[in-house]
Amino acid sequence: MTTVAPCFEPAVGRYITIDVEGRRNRVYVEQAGEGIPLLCLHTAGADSRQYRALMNDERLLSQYRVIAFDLPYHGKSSPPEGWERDDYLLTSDRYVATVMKVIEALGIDRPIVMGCSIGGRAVLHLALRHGPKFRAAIGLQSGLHAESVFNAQYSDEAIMNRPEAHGGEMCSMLISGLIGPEAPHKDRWETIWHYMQGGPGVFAGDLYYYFDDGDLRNGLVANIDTAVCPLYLLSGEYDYSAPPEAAEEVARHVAGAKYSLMPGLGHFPMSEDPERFLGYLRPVLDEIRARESGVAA
Amino acid sequence: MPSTEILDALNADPSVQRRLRFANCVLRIETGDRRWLLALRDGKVASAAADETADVTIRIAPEAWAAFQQPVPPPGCHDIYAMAETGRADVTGDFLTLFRYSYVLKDILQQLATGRMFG
Repeated sequence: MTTVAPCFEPAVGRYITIDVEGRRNRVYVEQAGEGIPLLCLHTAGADSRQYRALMNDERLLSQYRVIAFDLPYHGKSSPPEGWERDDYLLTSDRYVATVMKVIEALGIDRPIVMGCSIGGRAVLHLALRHGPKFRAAIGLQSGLHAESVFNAQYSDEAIMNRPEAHGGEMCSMLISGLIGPEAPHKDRWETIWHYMQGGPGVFAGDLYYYFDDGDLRNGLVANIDTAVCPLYLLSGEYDYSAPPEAAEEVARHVAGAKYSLMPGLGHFPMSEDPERFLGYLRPVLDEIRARESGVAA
Repeated sequence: MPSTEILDALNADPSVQRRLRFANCVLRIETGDRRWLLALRDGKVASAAADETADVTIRIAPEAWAAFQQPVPPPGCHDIYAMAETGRADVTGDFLTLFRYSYVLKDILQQLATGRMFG
């Protein structure tokens, strides 16, 4: 009998169980590669598949251990027991606690943390509250806060999940314009597909952090110490939700933060146009590595 | 009213057909002195009667409409929601209807502007 070697991609997915705010959560984690841990945080209403291209980039995987997990309620992570009786709401405290619990459960030492959108906000909270625990923070589509002319409609009993609406279609439609016009067709629609698969109320619950609870216009970001946790901000120019000006504003408030525009990209750089994004990411990672070498020397 | 070619292209698209299966609404699209009143009904996009009331009205600034027609539109002009969020378009009416049929709206706008589909 002839056996054929399986054609697996490099990423390996496993589950961990973490306690967050007194509730037990079964969380899905994917990782690939060897080297400096690069912990990746997905956007609101999506999951770790957004980092699929990074998990398949040989050059990246030769130097970094790329790790991505699905927040509870997202992707292959379960909601905690009793979810059916609650409205899901992501708060700053819950988000930070979840990330730190994942790091603890995985035994990761000083990862680079990179997040997009709500993840781009979360890296600010993480750098602020737990800076020494990170080698660096990379905020994609970061901002101190976010607003929308449709906020009243978003919060109208979460219009995207009303019984007379198709939640998946609604959630995906709301983000579909945030993708750059030159994104490859396949990656544009994969990005949209992820949003079609969210559970009811999950995207809206994440937006609570994005629009309300995670608001950082309180001056606290000035306390981020970039000598301890360097902060890099990369912004896609087609993002009208977390636009480049929002990241520039962060950079103005955080001494030592480094901001770069990503022409051609929108709100989901790593998912909508991975190759273009990697072109912007690699120099940042190189700089972090070089800094680490300098510190070590 | 849109050309027959535009309506045919829209109505031949499987995703438009699927999304309009249960639609019954009227969209008004305006930019400069151009006006389109469209009915999404009976599984199709068609011109609406002039006296029909629009459920959703979209008004797009002429400069934004011109920019939208470029092969690579600039930021803020690449999508109807980008235009709305950046003050280049005004959207009024029933938002549940708007959100339900926005993919079709995007196809309609792309067809009117460039002869392509959003999808």
